[in-house]
Formats: sequence, structure tokens, C-alpha cells
Amino acid sequence: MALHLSQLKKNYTGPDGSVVSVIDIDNLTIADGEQVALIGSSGSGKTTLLHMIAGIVAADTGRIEYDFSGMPPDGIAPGQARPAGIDYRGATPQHKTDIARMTEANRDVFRGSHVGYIFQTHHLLGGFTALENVLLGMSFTGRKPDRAWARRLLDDVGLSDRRDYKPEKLSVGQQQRVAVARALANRPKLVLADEPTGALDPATAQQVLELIRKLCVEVGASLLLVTHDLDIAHQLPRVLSLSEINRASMAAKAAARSQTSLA
Amino acid sequence: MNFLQIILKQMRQRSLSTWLTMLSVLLGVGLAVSIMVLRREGQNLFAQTDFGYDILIGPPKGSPLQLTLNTVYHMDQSPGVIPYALYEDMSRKTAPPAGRPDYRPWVKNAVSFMVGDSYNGRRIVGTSPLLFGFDDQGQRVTGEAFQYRKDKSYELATGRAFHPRKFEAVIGSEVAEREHLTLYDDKLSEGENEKRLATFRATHGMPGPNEKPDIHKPKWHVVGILKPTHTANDKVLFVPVVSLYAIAEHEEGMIDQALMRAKIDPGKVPPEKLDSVLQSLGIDPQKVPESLKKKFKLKSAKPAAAAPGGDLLKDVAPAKTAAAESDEDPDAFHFDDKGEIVPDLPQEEWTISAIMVKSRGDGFQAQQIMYNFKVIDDRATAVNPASVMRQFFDTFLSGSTTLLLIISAMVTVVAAVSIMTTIYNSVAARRREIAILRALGATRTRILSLICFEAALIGLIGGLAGFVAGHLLSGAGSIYLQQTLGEGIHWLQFDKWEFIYLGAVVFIAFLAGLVPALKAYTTPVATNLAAS
Repeated sequence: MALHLSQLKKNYTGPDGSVVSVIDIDNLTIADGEQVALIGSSGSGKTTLLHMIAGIVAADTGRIEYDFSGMPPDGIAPGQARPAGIDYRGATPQHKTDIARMTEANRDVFRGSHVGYIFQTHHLLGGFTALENVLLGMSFTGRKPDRAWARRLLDDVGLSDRRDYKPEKLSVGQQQRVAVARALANRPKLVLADEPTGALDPATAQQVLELIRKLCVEVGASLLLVTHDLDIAHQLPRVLSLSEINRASMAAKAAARSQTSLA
Repeated sequence: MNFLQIILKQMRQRSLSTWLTMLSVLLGVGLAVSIMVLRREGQNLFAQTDFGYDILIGPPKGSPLQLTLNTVYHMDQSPGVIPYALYEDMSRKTAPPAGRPDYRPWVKNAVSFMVGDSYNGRRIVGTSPLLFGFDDQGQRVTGEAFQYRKDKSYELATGRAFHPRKFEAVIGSEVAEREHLTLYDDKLSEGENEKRLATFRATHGMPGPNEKPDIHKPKWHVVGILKPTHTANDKVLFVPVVSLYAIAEHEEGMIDQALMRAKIDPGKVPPEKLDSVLQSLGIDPQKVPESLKKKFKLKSAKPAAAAPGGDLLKDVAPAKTAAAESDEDPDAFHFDDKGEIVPDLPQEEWTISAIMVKSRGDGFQAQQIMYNFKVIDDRATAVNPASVMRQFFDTFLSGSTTLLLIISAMVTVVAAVSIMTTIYNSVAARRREIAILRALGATRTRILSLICFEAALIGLIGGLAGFVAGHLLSGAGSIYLQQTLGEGIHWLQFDKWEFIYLGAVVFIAFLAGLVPALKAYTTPVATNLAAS
């Protein structure tokens, strides 16, 4: 599945009423199965962009198209049942689905079915075991949770002996690996990883990165990984700098530069 | 993970607050359910209409409620006495002698009821063998067995009915069990039977804990033990009513009552005037046992100035003797050649506490009897026990239980508020979790329903536990009633209102969850994911 962003804009209104442009992207495409690193400084809008792609945050204008052409007829990978009761509002999953035109509820369901999200901190639920956290990732798709696949994912991330451990009993690296497994739980078409190695030591970070990449290949998902660590970024085949594709951060940079020169 | 598993997991994660909230629901529902059960079953118990008899006849000035409580539930004191002759009239199966009323067209059967004595705090009731379905000859009566409840007659678990003129007793199942009384064995000696508690002596009245019991001389033989009736009658020892007239103090009491009615102080009647005093009261002095006469003489006042007024009390001057201090009851009866009791007290002086009457027909005859005692015959009053108890429930119990029900409804609302507070606080603490669930694909509506169903589930679990607790509490109430009234309530019985109430509790809990759910509904995902 390919992802096309076009004319994507997001503004925030500041406390003083001023409008701040956060995202202003003309065009961005991530090809089917492509693994892309997105680098950018703090506050450049990396997380906001991921949230918009995931449908967590609505775009003000523009398109966020998930291109399912080349996928099986209804956009659902083989072996997966089509989620029941989802209103795609005229979008045709066989071809392109613009989630920017979807209602929030439909975006939620779409995200649950097609997007895997890995956060900087694991964001596991404390009351649930590792296995349950992975199963939780499957709970909002309208499909029956696939326990065997959940176990298999935990095996793949090397936690076969920690399935029944609650997050508090796991190390930070182990917690992040559970989070990776959870993100892959629904065999997503796109995995969005927001600084997934940011809280890990270099060795663990490397392990987690490799896991993410390997599993994305395994499920046929494209990967968009946000990081500020260039060593991590350059391991991926394509590296994008947000400051180069986002006019909003370019403008912010220019403003900062002019302020510096005035000073 | 399905919806329910997610809810249960989240509840378990905050188990302490969940348990405490459930406890508050449990208390509210338990209280309400127990009140509902006690109210309903109490009504069934007190306002029952399935009495085996439809009329109670008691003293003319007694309270109908006191008469009913005393006769049916063996509570309270007897409101007074009525002449035994009335019982003879009502129970007569053959044409009455000249001058006596004929109640046969109205009365199906009538059973005498006499209280006053006790055994180890348990009531002794003087009655006729008809109570157990036997006539005075010990033969089983056909078709007219006395029923204590509709279609329920006393049945003997062991032994036989007592002889109507012997010191024999039939005891209730609970008395036998608790007091370890056993059946009298004719093959054993009197002493041996006494040792194995096959005989008992009656205590006068029902002495208080600090009172010295006045134990009567006669000994009754236990000849029958009843099967449990699950009514107050299981706590009673039944003896022939005639045997109670054989107790000196009772005869004395009856003559005392006659004297009191005539406002004559027996202690001041001079011995030589006793006969004329008794005659003036319609008592044949020849029939008054010597023992009693002696007693009155001994009790006469010391020589003193004549009491002012009252012809009978003039010139009173009997001497007091040392024997006056004796406590020993003299015998007030003798046995005839058949070994049956012949009380010294003349039959005209016999009185009883009440008569239980089953009228003939469909209610018309009962009304005739009631009318008769209301308008024509002023020797007694007749009441319908079912309507007395219904009235008692309506005027007293119903009002107070309605108040309790309102209180318990308020407690339920408080429990609902506590659900709301607990979940509201938990939502505030769970914003990150809610954001994570949203990020994983849960819609706002799904989050809303998760929270509402969690609240409803707390309501349901707390409610079900409260439902059980309420019935257990009623069970405890039933045990208490069983101990005091001899009759418990059907505390395991349910009715639709309990289920409607339980449904309402779950619904209210669901609504209580709506407030925090709306808070969760509006929880912004992005900021809460970033906040942690």
C-alpha cells in the first residue's frame, strides 16, 4: 500500500489567538513496502504529521490517501476478513482512500485496521499482560483477535517467555518490543513509528529498529519512522528531512534565522 | 480481547476503588431488597388470609389485635376471659338444652383456647383434642378436622392426642426438640419417666427473669409430639383445658375474678359470710372446693373496724393463722373412678381465653356470628383474624416499611452517585489509557460505552451481591421472627419487583457512568498521548 500526501495543511491557534502553521506539505509519497526515515528537529511537527497520517488529528485541508491499488480487490490482505460496519464514505479501498475526508469515527476504525503506531514511550496498558496488550491492538477492528498471531509476534520480538508479564515487570526495551508487536498485531499496511528508540540505550535501540524493519517486511507494511537520531535514520533506505518538505518548518526556520540576524 | 474482558481488566486494575464502589451498591441494594422481602413476606405472614378458622371469639372488651396476636402467634398477653359455657354452646354437636343458643347452623367446628401457664418460658395452651382431629373419646373425627391454616391440620409425629380429662399433653415439634421432652412410656415408672423428661410441671404465668417461678403441683405426661407446622404453634405445649381447672390457683383466680367484678375484696370477707358472698355472685358455695374456702378464710383480714359502706364487708373479723404463709398449692381436683380429672371448681366458673371457630358455608355464617357477638350476645366479641392482621399491617407495618423503602431508594441513589464519583475520578486518572485505546482504533462511542458498561457492571455485580445480601438479611430477620413469633418468612422467595429494582439499579449505574463517560468521550487523544 502506498501513501500519498498532497496539499496537506494543519494550523494551530495559539493562546493569544495567533494562527501558527504546523504542517504545510505539497506532496509526499511513500511507496508500497517502502521504509522511510523522517528526521527533524524538536517542534518541527513530526508527531503532528504522524498523528494526521494516522487520523488521530484531522487535517485542515489536503489529502491523505492510502493507495490500495495492487492490493487484493477490497484492500484487505489475504486471510483477513473485511471489517464489518465500516463506512468509508465513498472511498474505494480497492484504490485510494482519503482519510482526510473521513469522519473521526471512521478514521479511528481505519487506523485500527490498517495502521500500526509505535510511540516513543511504549504506551502499554498497565493492567494487561504482554499478550493481552498485543490482543488489545486487535480489539477494535471488528475482527476476532488472532491469539496465535499475537503469540507468534511476541515470539518474534523475543518475548515468548514473558507473554504473561505485565509491563511493570518488563524492562524498558522489553516494553518497547511488546509495543512493536502490538503495532503489528493487525498486519497493518503502514507502520508509523514516533521515535521508537528514543528512550532506549544504543544496543537495545538497534535491536528494536531491526525488529520493526523485519516485521514490516514480513507483514508487507510500509514504514515511516520519525527519529532525530541520524545513525538510526540512515539505516533506512530513504531519509526525509521534515524541514525540507514542510513549508511551515521552513518558514519557522527562516523566521528564527531573521531573528538571529537582527540580534 | 473482547469488550467485556477489557472492562473487567480495567476494573481489576483499580480493584480497591471498584470493590469499595461495589460495596456501596451492595449495601444500598441489600438494604432495599431486605426491606422489600420483609415488607412483602411480612405482609404475607401477618396479613395472611389462609387461616384454617375464620373467627376468633374473645373477651368483650379486649382489643381484636391483642386477641389475634395472642391466639394465632402466641404473642402478647391474653386480653381476658370468656365463659367456658360459650365454648360449650359453640362446639355442641347435638341440640342444645332449653334456654341455650344453637350455633350449629353457623359453626363447623370450635376449639377452646386457654392460656396462662408456661413451661421453661414456653406457652402452655389448654385446648380440646379436636385441635388434633380427635373427639373427646379419642376417636378421630371425620371430615371436620380443625385446620390451623387452610388445608393444613395438625399431625402427630409420634404418640397420640391427649385425653380431654387427664394430665396429658401434646407438644409442638420445637418444644420437643429444644426442651428434649420425650414421649411418656407407660412401661416405666413415674420417676423414670420424669428423669427422661416425659413429664413436666407448669409454671404459673410467664415469670420474668428475676421472678421466682410459681410451679404448679400437677404433672403432665407427654403423650404426643406434633409434626412441625412452621408456625408459632411449634413452640407450644397443648394440654386439655380441663386439666388447667384442676390447678388450685386457677380456681382461686376465677373466683377472684368474680369477686373483683363485684368489687369485693376477698381478703376482707369474714369466713361466716363467705357462703352468702359467693351465693350473691351466683357461685354455689357447695361446689367451691374446701381448699379454696380455707384459703379465703386464711386470707381474711385481721379484726378491724368495718369498712365504710358495702353491706358485705361489715363486721369483718377473722383471725389470721400461721398457715396463711404456706405456699404449697392444695389439690383442687379429684379423679373419678375412670381416672379422669374432676376439678373442684364448678363448671359454671370455668373460663377460657378464646375460641377458634371455623364457620360453615361461604362467609355468610361468619358474618352472622360476628353480628351476633356485636349486637346480641355481649359475653364476648368475635373478630376475623385475617382482617385484623391485614388492618394491622396496613396501618402500622405498611407505613413504616414504605418509609424504609424510600430511605433505601435514597441509599441506592447515593450508591449511584458513588459509582459516578469513582468512575469520574478513574477517568481523570486514565486519560492516557483512554488515549492509547483511541490510538489503537477505539472510537469515541466505543470509549463511551466502555465506561458506561463498566458502571453498569459495577451496578450489576454490586446489585446481585446486594440481592443475595438482602435475602440473607431477610433470612436473619426470618430467624428472629421464628424465635419470637414461631413463624418465619419465606425469605428465599423472589418477586418481579425485586428484579425490576435490580434492573433499575443497573440502569441508574449505567446513567451514572454517563457523566465520566462523556468526560472520556471528549478526552483529546494527541495531547494525552504526548502528556506522558
